[in-house]
Amino acid sequence: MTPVGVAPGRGLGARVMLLVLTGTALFTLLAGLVAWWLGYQHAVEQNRHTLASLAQAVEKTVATGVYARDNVLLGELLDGLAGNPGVARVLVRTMQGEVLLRRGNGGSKAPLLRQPVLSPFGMHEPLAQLELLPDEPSIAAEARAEALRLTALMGGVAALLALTLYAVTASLVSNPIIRLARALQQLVPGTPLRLPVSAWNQHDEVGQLVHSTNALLDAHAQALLRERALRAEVEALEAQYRRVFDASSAGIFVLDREGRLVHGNPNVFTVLGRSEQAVRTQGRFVDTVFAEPAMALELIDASRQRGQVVFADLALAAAPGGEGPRWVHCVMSAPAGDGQTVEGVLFDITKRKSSELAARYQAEHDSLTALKNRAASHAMIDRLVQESINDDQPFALLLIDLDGFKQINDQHGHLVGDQVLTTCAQAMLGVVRRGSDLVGRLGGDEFVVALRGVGSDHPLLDAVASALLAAIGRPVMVEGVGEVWVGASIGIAVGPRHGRTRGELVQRADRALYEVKASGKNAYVMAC
Amino acid sequence: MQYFRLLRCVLAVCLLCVGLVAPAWADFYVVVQSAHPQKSLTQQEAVALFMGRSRQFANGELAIVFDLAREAPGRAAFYLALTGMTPAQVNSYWARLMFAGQSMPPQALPDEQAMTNLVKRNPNAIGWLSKEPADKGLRTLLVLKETAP
Repeated sequence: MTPVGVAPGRGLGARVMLLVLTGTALFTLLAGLVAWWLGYQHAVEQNRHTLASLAQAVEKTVATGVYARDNVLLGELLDGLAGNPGVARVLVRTMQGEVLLRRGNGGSKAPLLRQPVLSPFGMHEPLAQLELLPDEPSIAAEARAEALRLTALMGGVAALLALTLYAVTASLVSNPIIRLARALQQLVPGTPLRLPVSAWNQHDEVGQLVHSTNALLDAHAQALLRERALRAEVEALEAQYRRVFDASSAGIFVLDREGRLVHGNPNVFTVLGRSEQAVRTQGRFVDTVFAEPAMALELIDASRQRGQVVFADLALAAAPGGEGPRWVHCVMSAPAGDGQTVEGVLFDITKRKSSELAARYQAEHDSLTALKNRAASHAMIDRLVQESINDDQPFALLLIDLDGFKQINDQHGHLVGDQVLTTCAQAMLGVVRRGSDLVGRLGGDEFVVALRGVGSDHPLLDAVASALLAAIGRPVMVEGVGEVWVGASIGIAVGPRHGRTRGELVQRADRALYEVKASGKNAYVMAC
Repeated sequence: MQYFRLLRCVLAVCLLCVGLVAPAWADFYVVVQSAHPQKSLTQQEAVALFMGRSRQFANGELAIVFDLAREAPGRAAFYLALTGMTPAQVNSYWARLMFAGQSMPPQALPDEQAMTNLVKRNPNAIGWLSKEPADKGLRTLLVLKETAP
């Protein structure tokens, strides 16, 4: 807040002074004009009245003089009248129009004053007329003097009044307000200082203003204190949460509506194995980070729709320079009523996931040859049987028994036997289609191969069977022993043609295998 | 009848009483020498002469006006009848004229006998009496009825 200064000449005191002076000057001018006019009128009227009174006063004597034809008396009377400063000319005129006597001869435009002179004896018999001509310049001078006096008086009174008004206004209103404004300007918010109030203004509106302002300042200071305390509390809490947020072993992040990263703690980037810079610049968080963005989006939608916390284990996309597949346990929650952001927590579960996977691998695979073990092979065959029934898609089941393996084992020992088994296993894997077909070890020197989508008249069946014979029959180079050979007997059954269960099919294939064994080995036979 | 006679008696007594207590309404007589050519005078002419406006008779002869003394009985009533003014007003009138020094009020005579004698001898004199002049040497020019004060 910048303090607003008082522009020079725009202060309350100066303006009050200016207004009072202007008002007074205007009033004085107006009143002066009126006073002048009134004074002038009054003076003229007064003069006229005076002359009329004079004329009336001497009327009886003039009548006597006229009646007695006493010109000396009349002359003295007229001299007396003409001596009056307001009289320019005075004369007595008979009823016949004859001028009896005249004094003075000033020319004047002022209206003539006529006083009829009645006979002292005849009751109302007019005898003559006394004519008085007012002396205009002298009357005007008199009137001006009177008007001037009146105007000066008005002006004086107005000036006095203005001074008083200004003094009263200044002491009662403007000065206290000016002092108040200065004090208020120097006041710093939040300090215990308050505005002073003079005893003079204690109980008027200025006092009220000061008290109200002080009350406001108090309230403001209290609010400020409360707010400060609250802010400190909030800051402490926030710092606490931030520490938790920052120090959490989990990666915490906030996504916006489109799945872009809004905020993430340092650990989220550690968990992801990417720099914050990289995450922020490489498009959508969800697309960049997860191996299957669709699953992550599904999770977000689920959280939004249900308004609940949902979680899932998600594979991360391979980070540049990262080693091996990585997994996270992802907890998503969409704050209720927001609909905008989604909060997520990531826990690195790669270790757990890998041990889980390793255990599963161990459970399903033969430790020597790394082929599917018996149980896993059975499970796979079961699946294929089910598929063959459901989808009417045939598959071929090949049971393989190594010929001459027992002799090698007996002759050269287990280690050599194991090497032969491993080599045969690799050779068999090299023959089948890696994605869809099964190569498993059922135990000892018994193996199984299952070919998905291959019926009894499929050309691939013979080719694979022949290739298997050839691959297994290749000599194996064993260190310290030399070359050893084994052969293979293969019994083939085709589902669902030869059976609609694993047991049936295995039995048919086994029977065919037995036929091969009986007829000289190292061949394959289809169940009939 | 008897009743009427009684009423007449009471009336007579009353009249007698009035005549004794209050002076009877009297007339005033403006008089000149019986040999004077002027036969009569209007009241206006009489006022002009007695109040100093005029100094001559109708024929142009000089007129000398005589008055009775200030304390003479009937003088106040005479001036009231003549000008309608009280003695104080008349005095004031003359004071104004005397102030200028031009005019003088009529000369005053001690009593009506002196007036009768003077007017009888002086052909230019004019005066007034409160009783009709019995003297053959005087002529009445104007009779003034006394008015209520």
